[in-house]
Amino acid sequence: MRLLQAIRKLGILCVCCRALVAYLDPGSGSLIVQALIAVVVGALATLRFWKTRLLSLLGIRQEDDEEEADTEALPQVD
Amino acid sequence: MSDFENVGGSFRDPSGFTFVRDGAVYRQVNDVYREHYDHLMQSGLYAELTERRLLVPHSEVDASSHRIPGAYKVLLPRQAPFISYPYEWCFSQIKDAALATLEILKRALKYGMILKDASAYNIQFLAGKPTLIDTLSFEIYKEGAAWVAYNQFCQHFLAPLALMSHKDVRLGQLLRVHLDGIPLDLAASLLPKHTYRKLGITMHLHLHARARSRYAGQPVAKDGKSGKRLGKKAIIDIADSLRATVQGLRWDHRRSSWAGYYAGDSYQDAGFDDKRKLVSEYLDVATPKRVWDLGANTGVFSRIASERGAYTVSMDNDPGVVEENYLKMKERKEQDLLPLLIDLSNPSAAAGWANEERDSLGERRNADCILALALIHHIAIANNVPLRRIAHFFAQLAPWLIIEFVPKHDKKVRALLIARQDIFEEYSQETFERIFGETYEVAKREKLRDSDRLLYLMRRRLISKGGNT
Repeated sequence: MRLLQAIRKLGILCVCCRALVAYLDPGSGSLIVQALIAVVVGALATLRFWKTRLLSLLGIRQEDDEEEADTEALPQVD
Repeated sequence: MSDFENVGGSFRDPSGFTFVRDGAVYRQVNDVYREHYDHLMQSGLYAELTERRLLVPHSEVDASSHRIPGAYKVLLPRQAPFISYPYEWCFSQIKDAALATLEILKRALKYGMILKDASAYNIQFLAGKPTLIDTLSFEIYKEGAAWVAYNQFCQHFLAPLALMSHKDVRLGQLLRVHLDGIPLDLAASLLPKHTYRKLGITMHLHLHARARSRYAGQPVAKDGKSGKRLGKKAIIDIADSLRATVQGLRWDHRRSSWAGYYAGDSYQDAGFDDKRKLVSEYLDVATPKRVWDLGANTGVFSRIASERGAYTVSMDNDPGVVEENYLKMKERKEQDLLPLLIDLSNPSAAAGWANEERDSLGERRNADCILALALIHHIAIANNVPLRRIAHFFAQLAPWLIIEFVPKHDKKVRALLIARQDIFEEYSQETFERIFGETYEVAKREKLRDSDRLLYLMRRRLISKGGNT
């Protein structure tokens, strides 16, 4: 929750529901969490990109994209 | 001019609404939506989505069909042979509908549009494929905007799938109560702790649920101004993350109690072949265009109907066999079959605002013929429903009935009575024929080989307003 608050305070977010035809209430929490997830997913994609580059520089060939679901798994945290 | 009838579930979106005229469903596009509709049609998005069978194709019809001032266009979409609801879908149907929604979102972004809603009710299985039927779900994407329908997607798709996969497949039925999807706080509280190990579920469900609760009713930016905005790339990343999370959710249907029904000793192979042959013959007499197979199991007999070109809704109350039926349908690319999860002892009720948003199963009746094979003993004995009520129920649904009578001394009926008192004196072939004879004329009757089961082709006599004969 602190992380969410920090993101909010830093003004990283924004939110626009400007279109006249938008009729759903997106919910503030849903908008905030989208910004956070975009940051996390973007960072992971960057990491993956550099990892691939590094491995290819070292001449290590990676198998074709693993099942995406597997990349979703977090390290054991509990 | 013909009479119009509003479709009960079509009133929330100001972009337009659906109505029925002369039995066909039309969609009115309101003037407020003009810019978005034109962009959809002219950008190439409509062509791409319809070509990939992700969006229902439509034609524009004469403006005299317009119902109210403010109408821009009236569309006649390709008609769905049956409207089903997410609480009637098996696990993989919900999953495929979710993945189709995300694919549509990504393709829309490519053409400068976005999905302004992500309701599971906007998806129907047309010719076997999950297809968006709400042509007005798109809006022009304004750079920097977040995805307004993100929460709706999580409630309608991700929450039920996560619960069905990680907790219990029957929790999909929460969708019956929560028509706008399962509230995320409820889903998060029901999910086991080990789901925190999955990044996708942690972000899109657990964290999302907490954020919604923490910031409920608060503005997103304190000063009301917006700072750095979310870009299109961010939404594509979120859609990819959701896709990976959905794809990672699985459910093993082989543990179902009914999945091996035909592999067991229900009856001998010769009897089974005989039954297939007779069902085929009876269908050739009835020549139905639409069939409902009640208690269809994995759809063996439904396919006899669908392979004859009859659109067949294949219903069962066991999530495992519906899953198997659906996976088989997908594998074989069958277009005239729709497996659905329906409990006949408690079929889907009318629901939503004024009980008009979602029709009951009975309100959606459109079959010419009912298949009720190896079913009546489950209804009459396991569920204590009197034969007369069963006859009336079937007669309300369709004019033709192909029904199998399973006698009391049959192994399957004895199994139902093994631990309970036999209070079913009326359950006999004679009484069955007498009671069903009040409602139906028996067109054909044959005994199945290697058993004392009987297969009947019946035709409804007449039905009064109240449904009583």
